[in-house]
Amino acid sequence: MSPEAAAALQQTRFSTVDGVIVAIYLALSLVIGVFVRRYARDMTAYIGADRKIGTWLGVATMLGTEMGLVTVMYSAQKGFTGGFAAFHIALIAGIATLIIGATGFIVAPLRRAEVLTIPEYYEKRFSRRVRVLGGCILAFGGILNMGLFLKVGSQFIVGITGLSAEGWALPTVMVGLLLLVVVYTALGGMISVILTDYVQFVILSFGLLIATGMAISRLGWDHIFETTQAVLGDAGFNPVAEESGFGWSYVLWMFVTAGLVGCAVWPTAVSRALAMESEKAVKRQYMISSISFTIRFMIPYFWGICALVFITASPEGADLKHLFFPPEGSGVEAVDNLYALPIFLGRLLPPVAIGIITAAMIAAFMSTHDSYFLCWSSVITQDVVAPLRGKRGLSEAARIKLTRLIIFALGAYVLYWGLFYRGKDDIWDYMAVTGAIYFNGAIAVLIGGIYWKGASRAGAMAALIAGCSAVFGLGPVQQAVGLQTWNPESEEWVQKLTGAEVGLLSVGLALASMVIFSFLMPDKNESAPTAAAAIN
Amino acid sequence: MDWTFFWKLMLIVMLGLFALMAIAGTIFGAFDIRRLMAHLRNPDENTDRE
Repeated sequence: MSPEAAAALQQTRFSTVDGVIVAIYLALSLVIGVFVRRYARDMTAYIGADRKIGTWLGVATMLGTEMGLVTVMYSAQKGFTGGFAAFHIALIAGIATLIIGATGFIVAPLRRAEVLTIPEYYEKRFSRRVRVLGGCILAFGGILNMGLFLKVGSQFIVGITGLSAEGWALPTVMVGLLLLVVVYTALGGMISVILTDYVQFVILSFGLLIATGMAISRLGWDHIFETTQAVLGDAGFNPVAEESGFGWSYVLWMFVTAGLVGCAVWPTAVSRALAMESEKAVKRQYMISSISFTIRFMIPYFWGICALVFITASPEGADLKHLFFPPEGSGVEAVDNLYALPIFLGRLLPPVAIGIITAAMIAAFMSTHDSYFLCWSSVITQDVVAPLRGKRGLSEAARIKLTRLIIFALGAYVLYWGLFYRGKDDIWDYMAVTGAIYFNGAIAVLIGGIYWKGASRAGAMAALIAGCSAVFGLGPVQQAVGLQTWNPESEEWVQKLTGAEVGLLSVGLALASMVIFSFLMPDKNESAPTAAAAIN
Repeated sequence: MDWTFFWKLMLIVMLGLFALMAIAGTIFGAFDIRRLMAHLRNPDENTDRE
């Protein structure tokens, strides 16, 4: 990074008062984790909060979990590059969640089955082997998926507080935040996750509204839309326009990822449904959460758009324009556009407000990390290690201890990935592809298992394996197998199939595998883990 | 289709709904926490509403 860019990054209004606000919030989270530790007496309490979560607490924790700082960052990046056209993802997410809430599709039968994890359902419906395979794939895809969270989140903190983007600041922030989350999650499990999520919901909700109001007031409502039109043209509004960078296959892929999967198949969202006090509460939770599932994308997109307007068409951001958009042929490398949002907020917000927003964003960071740590670690304990021990089993105390150890191991992995990963992927697309390794198979197994009596164990195993084909959407894998070819003239990789197209094909393959293998190899022992009727 | 108008309308409506949700979630979520903590302190007592 050039000295000029580094100097621009350090211009922020973040003050000592803001630092104190952030410190108080962090201390509060740690105190909650220590305080509720005594209630985590068994696995149902530790990973399911005794299934006693009321509707509004469920709504709060859903927003806390699903709106992570990484969501804010990658969504702002999408808004910065795609303009209002990116809003279609928010719209799809909201409509899908509303439909899931109204119908209870997938989530209501899962809650009725009284399972703690999705792979546990696989065993109830199919067999232990399906559970172990599903647990392994879920943990692999999920852990890979959260690899970028820590680094991207820390980039925000560094950007908004004006710390140096290079040198000691970024790793120090990463280690500090990570230690805090790992400790309170390992101590209190789901109970501390739920309580901290509530605090995070309050700070996050009002923080989002305050910052949005200030951005509109500072830049001007009409000016935001006019500048987007001037910079991005019609493609900045129409998601199916050719130059928008989205298109029909992308929109369709978003129906799967941001829509169906985001609320009804993704394990951290489903774990909230499984912790609710009743099936009725699950449906209410989803109906109300359709607002937050829209907002979690829409507000960060809007902030990204505001950052674009600030940098390209406002006097205060004039010094940034040539850093983010260097003239062609100048040989100057553009500053990573992930920094656009934190720099914009750092210059927009006054002291105290900037402290509250930073605390809100750290809240978003921690609420996602804690849920992910708990979710993947409990899946490894409950659905891989415990079933593999067979009749010897695992005591409740041993399970809690093992889950805590895995949480610390995941923390170490995330830190390693954050410190050494040097990829240049579009973050949202990276996450969609890595997540798809798990959810493409899970869609087929859950829908088939719940709604089709003919779904068999062989069909479920085949669907889970077929879903792993989503890995071919990742850039390095595509290059290795020839799905991307190097063009020496333009000096860039040319895709034969986009990540979205690979994802859609992979979903189709998983669904087809479920149907074909269930017909070819139906279950013979009907008395064993049984049919949809048992759950419906 | 007028995309600009559509996204403007969506932004205004969703911000309004979200503000209402934030207020309701803060108030009623606190009541839910009280009930959850009561249950965790005395898990054998029935604290269900439904």
